[in-house]
Amino acid sequence: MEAERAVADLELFLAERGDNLLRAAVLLAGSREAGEDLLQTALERVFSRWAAIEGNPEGYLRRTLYHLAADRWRQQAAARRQLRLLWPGVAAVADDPTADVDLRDSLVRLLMQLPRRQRAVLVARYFEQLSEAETAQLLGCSIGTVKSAAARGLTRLRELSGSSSRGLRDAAEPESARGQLA
Amino acid sequence: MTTDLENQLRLDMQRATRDIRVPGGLALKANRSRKRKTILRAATAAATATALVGGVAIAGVTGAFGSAPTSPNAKLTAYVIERVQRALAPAKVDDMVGSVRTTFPPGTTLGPVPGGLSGMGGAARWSVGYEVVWADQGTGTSKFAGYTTGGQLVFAAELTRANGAASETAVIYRDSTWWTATLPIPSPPPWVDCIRGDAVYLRPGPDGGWPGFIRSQLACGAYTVVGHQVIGRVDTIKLTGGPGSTLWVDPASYLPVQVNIGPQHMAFRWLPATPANLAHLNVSVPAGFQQVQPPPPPNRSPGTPAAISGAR
Repeated sequence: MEAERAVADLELFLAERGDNLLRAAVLLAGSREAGEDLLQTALERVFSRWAAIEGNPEGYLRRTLYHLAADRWRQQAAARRQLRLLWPGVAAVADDPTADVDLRDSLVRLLMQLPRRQRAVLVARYFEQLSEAETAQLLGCSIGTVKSAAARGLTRLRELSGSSSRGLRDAAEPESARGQLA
Repeated sequence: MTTDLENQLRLDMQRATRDIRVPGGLALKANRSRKRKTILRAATAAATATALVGGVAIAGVTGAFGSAPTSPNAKLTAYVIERVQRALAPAKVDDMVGSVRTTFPPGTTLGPVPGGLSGMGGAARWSVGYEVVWADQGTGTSKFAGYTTGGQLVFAAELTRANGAASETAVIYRDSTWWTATLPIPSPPPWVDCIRGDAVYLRPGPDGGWPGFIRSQLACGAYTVVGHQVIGRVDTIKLTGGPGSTLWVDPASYLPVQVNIGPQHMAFRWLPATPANLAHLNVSVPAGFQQVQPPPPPNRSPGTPAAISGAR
């Protein structure tokens, strides 16, 4: 059957390329669980469009992943606003999406505090190592938007890391010294 | 120009995610989830259509159900029933342990008798609020246990089948007695495609028990998808089959979650036939309990509809 073939094809694809996609999803979503949920939802979209996808589904899957992440963050932000109104005590928990992420990597923790577009640009540029043009195509925006979002994101990261206990000085330390933090 | 911060960010992101591996079966899980959402959307549309125009089909349900000139609700019903029939086929359920909890109307009195039936014959009876039946669908071994409304165990009986005979051990906790009986397995009555009405008729043998009974009810063509409803933690598809008959199925597995037939409410669980799950079928006699003669078997010919019966 068509659906079974699609499942088998996608399982093979995930065995080869899935780890990297899931890692990007975790960075976009802020936790392991949310990342898996995000990737699964993107896969559902792929199944819905399976007949129209020609060849390698990676491009469509990655685009869907980033667009869904933006949607999800909007929904989560709205939910947090409602939670604050209803139960002020809950907000502190709901505001920390990194609760089950490895927080030893402080820049990743600070990354979670950035607006969604800046975060998506930084994940695409520095984790996936896409060019500015590729990032612009992925996110459906101009190269100028990518440049400005990346610049603002890095500036904000620098500010945040400067006020954190680790500080920007740690970021400039050699690899051997940083390794002790892990 | 690449700055230290950019390098650090790249390294931190790699380090934070280096141990993350995509779990096996994620595509299969995604496909099931997508189908479940499609069905639930269609069930919602069907319910809306039914509510708005009294069951007359309106546009809005599309996709997996083709484009035949049948109404969307009828197509959805046919699709769901076909899936439920397939999920309950012997080849599918024989590797499962099924559990059925039946809640009885107040004042119900039951007692175990040889043959795995309760509530019939001349056995002593005790007030029972609900009964839980465990059945190994592959071997036909079953256990039924009666509880008070408050959850106190009243009796439990284990029925096993081997070499053309059934043996049963029943423990009655209310009077600290137990009995054992051996009896021949009656020839299964002929398969009935469609069982109507609000009597529960659990046919023994292959394609019997609750799976066979529900399949036979669905074969009557009386059930219709009317919407979805959360039962426990499952957002189920709800089907009705006439007055007093309602079936809720899990949209992921299409196995029944709950059935209401007349005054009886049955809640189902379907588990893989692992040693731990099969252990639910065991009945052991507590120390100090007195062995007694089994009560006479019920005066019931094979094929007679029974209001209350064991799983197989």
